[in-house]
Amino acid sequence: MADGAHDPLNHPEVRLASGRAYVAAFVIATALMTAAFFIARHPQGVPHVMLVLSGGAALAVAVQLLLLLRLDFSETQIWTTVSFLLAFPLFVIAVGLSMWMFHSLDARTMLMALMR
Amino acid sequence: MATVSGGTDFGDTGLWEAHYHHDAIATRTLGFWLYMLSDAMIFAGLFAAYGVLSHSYDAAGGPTLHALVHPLSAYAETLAVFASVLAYGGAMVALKRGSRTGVLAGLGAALLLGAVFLGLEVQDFAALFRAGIYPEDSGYVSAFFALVMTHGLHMAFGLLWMATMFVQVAIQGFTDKVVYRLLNLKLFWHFQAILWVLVFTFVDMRGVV
Repeated sequence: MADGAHDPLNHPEVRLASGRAYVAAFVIATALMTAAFFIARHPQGVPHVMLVLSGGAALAVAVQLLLLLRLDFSETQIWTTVSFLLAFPLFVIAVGLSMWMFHSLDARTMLMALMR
Repeated sequence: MATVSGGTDFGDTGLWEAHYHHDAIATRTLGFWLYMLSDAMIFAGLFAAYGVLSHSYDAAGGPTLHALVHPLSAYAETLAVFASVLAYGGAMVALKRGSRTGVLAGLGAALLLGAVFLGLEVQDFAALFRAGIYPEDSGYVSAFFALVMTHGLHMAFGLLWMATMFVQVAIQGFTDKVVYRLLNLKLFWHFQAILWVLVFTFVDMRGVV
């Protein structure tokens, strides 16, 4: 790491750039979002549409994390990856628990019951 | 170096320097990455509010998602943001090669495509305002606007940062500071594309379904 101090372009994080990975991320993410667009507009015959779309989004996010942000367990990227792995559950818990709590509340609210 | 007593002589460098070479670029990119992860928690709050408030009951008789989203425009915005990220990737490959012209070309293209994204989004919001739909109409609409506009604001700041880097690369070349700023902007810009996948799927496409 210190070896690259004289020329910042030799820094391992600069050397991470890969044209092939960027193009692959673009093609895969675009294909997934295009598929999501068509499925959303023509959902006939597709069971659990939102679940399918969520799966597509998860895949697109994973591809971008791996190919664009180059998250891996190499010496250069280990702490970037570990901090992401520690923060990701917090994101899921914050969104998931909020929705679950209010879903439970809505189920016991008179006005929500009337809406059904 | 090893000493006679079996210990280690670190000379003037000190214990810390000997074990952990000071790497300003790596320290700053990790620091900025941690900031991005904390920024993601703002989006967690906004997605949670949107998830909680996206019942027709919360729309208070006003418009719901189906009337708020413009699917074709959202799809075009998706292509623009992905292409902008690809162009920024091109700038990163040029940086690796040490090509200043290549970096400027990549930054310029990413800037242009990001501006296309923002222009389309502003157009969408203008259409909603023309239709008499405003953020304060209902909890439902507030949550929608807060989420999508916060992402749009991130994109706007990203473009401002990119324009700044364009000038810095042109004037200063690849100094340590310019390089770590370019790496930080890469993290920021790629992160916006990831967040957009979530907005596109759970707001725009959900509105279509």
